[in-house]
Amino acid sequence: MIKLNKFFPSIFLFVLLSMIIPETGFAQGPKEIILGAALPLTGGQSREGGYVNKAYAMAIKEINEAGGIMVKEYGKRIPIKLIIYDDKSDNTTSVQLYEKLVTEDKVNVLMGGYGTPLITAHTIVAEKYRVPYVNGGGATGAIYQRGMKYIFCIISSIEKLSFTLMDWIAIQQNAGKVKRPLKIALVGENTSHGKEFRQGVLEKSKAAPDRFSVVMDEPFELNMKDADPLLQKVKAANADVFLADARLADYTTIHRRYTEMGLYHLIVSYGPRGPEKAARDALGPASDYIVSCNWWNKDIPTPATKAFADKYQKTYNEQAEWFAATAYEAFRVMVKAIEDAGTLDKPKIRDALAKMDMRNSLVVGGRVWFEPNGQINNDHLIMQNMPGGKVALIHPKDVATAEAIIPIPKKR
Amino acid sequence: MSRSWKLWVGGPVLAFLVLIPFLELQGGYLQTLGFLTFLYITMSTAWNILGGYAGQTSFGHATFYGLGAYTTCILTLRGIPALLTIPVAGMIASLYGLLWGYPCLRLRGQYFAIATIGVGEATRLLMLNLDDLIKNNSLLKGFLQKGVLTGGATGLMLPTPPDIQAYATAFYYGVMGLMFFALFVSWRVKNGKFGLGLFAINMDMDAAETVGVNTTRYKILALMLSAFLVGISGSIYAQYVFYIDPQTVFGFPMSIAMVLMPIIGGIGTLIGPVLGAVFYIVVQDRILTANLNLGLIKLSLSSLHLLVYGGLLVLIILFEPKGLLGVHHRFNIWWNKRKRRSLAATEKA
Amino acid sequence: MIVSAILLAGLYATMSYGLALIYGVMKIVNLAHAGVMMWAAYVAFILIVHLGANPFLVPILIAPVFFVFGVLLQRYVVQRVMGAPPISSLLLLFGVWLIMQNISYLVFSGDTKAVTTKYTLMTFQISGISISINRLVVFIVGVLALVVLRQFLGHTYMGKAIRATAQDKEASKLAGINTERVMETAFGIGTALASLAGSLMALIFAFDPDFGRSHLLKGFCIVVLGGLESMIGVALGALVLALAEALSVLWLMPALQDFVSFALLVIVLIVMPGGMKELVDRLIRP
Repeated sequence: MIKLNKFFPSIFLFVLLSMIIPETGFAQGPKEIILGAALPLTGGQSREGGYVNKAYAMAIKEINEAGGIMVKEYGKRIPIKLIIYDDKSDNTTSVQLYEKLVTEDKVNVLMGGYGTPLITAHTIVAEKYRVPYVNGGGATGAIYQRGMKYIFCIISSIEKLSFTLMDWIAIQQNAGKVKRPLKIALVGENTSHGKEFRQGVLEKSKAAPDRFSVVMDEPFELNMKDADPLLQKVKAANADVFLADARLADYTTIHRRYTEMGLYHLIVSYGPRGPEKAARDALGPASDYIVSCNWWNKDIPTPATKAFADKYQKTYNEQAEWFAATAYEAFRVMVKAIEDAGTLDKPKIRDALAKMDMRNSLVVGGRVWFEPNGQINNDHLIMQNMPGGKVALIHPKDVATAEAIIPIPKKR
Repeated sequence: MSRSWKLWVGGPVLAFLVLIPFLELQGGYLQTLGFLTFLYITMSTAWNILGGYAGQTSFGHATFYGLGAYTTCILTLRGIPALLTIPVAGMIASLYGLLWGYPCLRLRGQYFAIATIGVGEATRLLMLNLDDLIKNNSLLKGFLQKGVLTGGATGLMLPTPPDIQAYATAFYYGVMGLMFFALFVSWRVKNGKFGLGLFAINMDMDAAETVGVNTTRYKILALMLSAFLVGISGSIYAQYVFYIDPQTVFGFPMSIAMVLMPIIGGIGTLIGPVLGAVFYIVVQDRILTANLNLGLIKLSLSSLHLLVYGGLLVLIILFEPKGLLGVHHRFNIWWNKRKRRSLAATEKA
Repeated sequence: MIVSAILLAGLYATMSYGLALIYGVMKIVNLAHAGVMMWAAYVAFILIVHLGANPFLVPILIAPVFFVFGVLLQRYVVQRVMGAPPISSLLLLFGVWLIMQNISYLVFSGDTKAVTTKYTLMTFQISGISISINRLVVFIVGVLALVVLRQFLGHTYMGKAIRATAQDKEASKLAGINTERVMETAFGIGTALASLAGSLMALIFAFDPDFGRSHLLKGFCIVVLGGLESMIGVALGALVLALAEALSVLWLMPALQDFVSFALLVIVLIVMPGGMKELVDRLIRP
């Protein structure tokens, strides 16, 4: 007979086991196509993660209203389902969740989250289990230079971003708007994102010493609370141009202190950040004239962009940011890949992605196709914040809506 | 009596754990969960040697975990076989323990705890910025490989093996072995002269000193032993997930986990840390994926697990310092009393 | 730079004195201090950004609320472990901190928030140095609070009782002081100071639910530097830390600024547990 006073551990064990076991017997079939993603819905990147979440929700609704994805193998349209988990902006959690998506939820394909460190962590799981993975939020080129086969990204690299930005500054020099050489103060978050940005700027300035000289080059910690030490150094560097690479939160933090300290540079840029409404609301007129270089803006004069921006505005009653646009487009690319493949076989979907050639897309240039490393290689967009919360596209020429105001007017 | 019961339950449980990789429950997710559980049991047990037996609460154990993980990644990326790096990782963690333990362990109780928070955070910041720090140093530059030693906030990546399933299964059994090793060490410490010394320190440091226990040495040894096990855990974690970054392996949450598990389970006991770790992983896993979907609004409950542990910690310290094990004992006493009473009642009747 | 360091020191002093007071009276290390600072920052955020309250009045408004919170926390939670070894009170308050932090994660989802008001971007110039009005007012409010507190401790019965209890608890009890009430008050004041510091910080720094941790460590560093119980010591400690941080930028990467304060904490704890006072004593009387 079992001694009953040892009852407690048995209960404990039983409860734990019953917590683990119940979800077995997962009915898998072509009843629906399952996509999975873990997004940073809480924690440091929650704001950006929120945009991605909304974009995905919009894309799913659109596709399911049309009856789902046409899969040739089954000869019918199959509705889709997206499983979204919250990774708390934490790598370990994110990896654990992607493992769960693949092994327990048995997803057909994976969608990306947001942020370079998180996406770097995801790619390992996706590649490990050979599940196609598309993202619109991890531009860092280093992620795609590791010979992975199942990883795709629809925003072009940070290296290219920094090159575009520097080339544009050179154009301003040629136009005589700013002097040459320019002294540059360069800072970047200490992720591969920031590192790549800094390397790109350094490379360009080394190549053209008559144009640029980098007088300061510093990394800073992600999600910093106080930008004072960093900016003291910037101030001491006495540069003409201030180039930074930061996330939304850090951009706001740094520029707030920047304004507080009364700093001034001929050109100020936070890399891909600048026009986000959240930041402009927080910073007010202090964010005017900031130049940014990124992947999408709602004012790109193409029908696809207008349709998306309008729909997003109508659905969520807020302006569409690039985070949402690229996430939405990543989702559509994945859907198209499944349709092209005509099957749910993962390697075949992967091949379809590699051969992808999508026209009339939201992205700059309107065409999605991937380099052999899995990353797109299209042009970047340069824009400038204008007074009154407006944003002007200033480069490349074919989409430009206004002339850049350089150097930044000095305040009285 | 009690032994036969232990066999009766322990046997099947052990058999079940061994068989998990073959059962393919939940598509193998249970195996991942099992791996994590064993890993955390190892760490929880290791922390308990210093925090439970010797009573020195450390909030800085993530430093060992992180160093273990980084040692393995750095060495592996330079061509040393990954398995060989495991003991090296343990030793480096251990040495780092000596480095900061030697001065810090002279502090008492609360001061030691605070100093360990400082050490943990300082180490994390250092690792985050190490590459940039030594980039311009001609002496240390040699450690960089293509400009990378620790990779900053990006962290380091290991190449993935071709047969991932077999690899994962091997690691599952490997870490299970490690767990039993850690438990064995903990058991030996607890029942040996060394453990007696630690308990004496825990009870009354001055008294322990007067009866001839070399308290500082004992404490440092306990820290190093603990660091060794945690360092190995870190190394194995790195090899299992192929990707590490300072925020993850050196982060404060990792240190918190190592403090919480043994305390929740039952501090200073052999089985307590095991219970605590199992509880920690299972609750975390269940809560992580709990989402409240209300149309377009999504309320994520993933932060709830630390809330649960925080609450448990408060309750345990207020009412039951021996943790879940203590609750179990109380239950036993209550049950026995009830039985006796009912026996007495029947006798009376 | 020096000016901004001094302005920051005022804030640091406010934050640290709460810790010092609680430690002095109860000999417990209040890890929940960080949680209180973080909550106060969020409350200030809601009041200022969503309800349009005057940013410089908010800290004064919320301090009494947190005073009550502190008193209740002491009466119903911390009091229970007063007899136990000090480490259990540390762990207990650590648990409280965890709870507070994760409630914030649930409620505020944890992205980094910042309060921007019309004062935030105002500056004025004195002999070429640009001083932010925001930081100046934060400094003034912080220092004012300390001055008021000093008057309170020096000239009221309760204040004297608190100081007596800090010096010798048993003797105070014998002298007829209701030490439990004293401890409640001290804990309440400490919490109120933390909330004051937290809401002031919200005006300067960006914050998230993990906000208080590095400041908590800085607080300990300051308290230990300052010799644990004296207000002037704490003020000096705050100044030393703020200057050390500011100067470290000259020869260290800005990203490592916090490293300086954490390393300083460990070194100070080990090398001079008596704080600067002891160091000075040792130098004067070799």
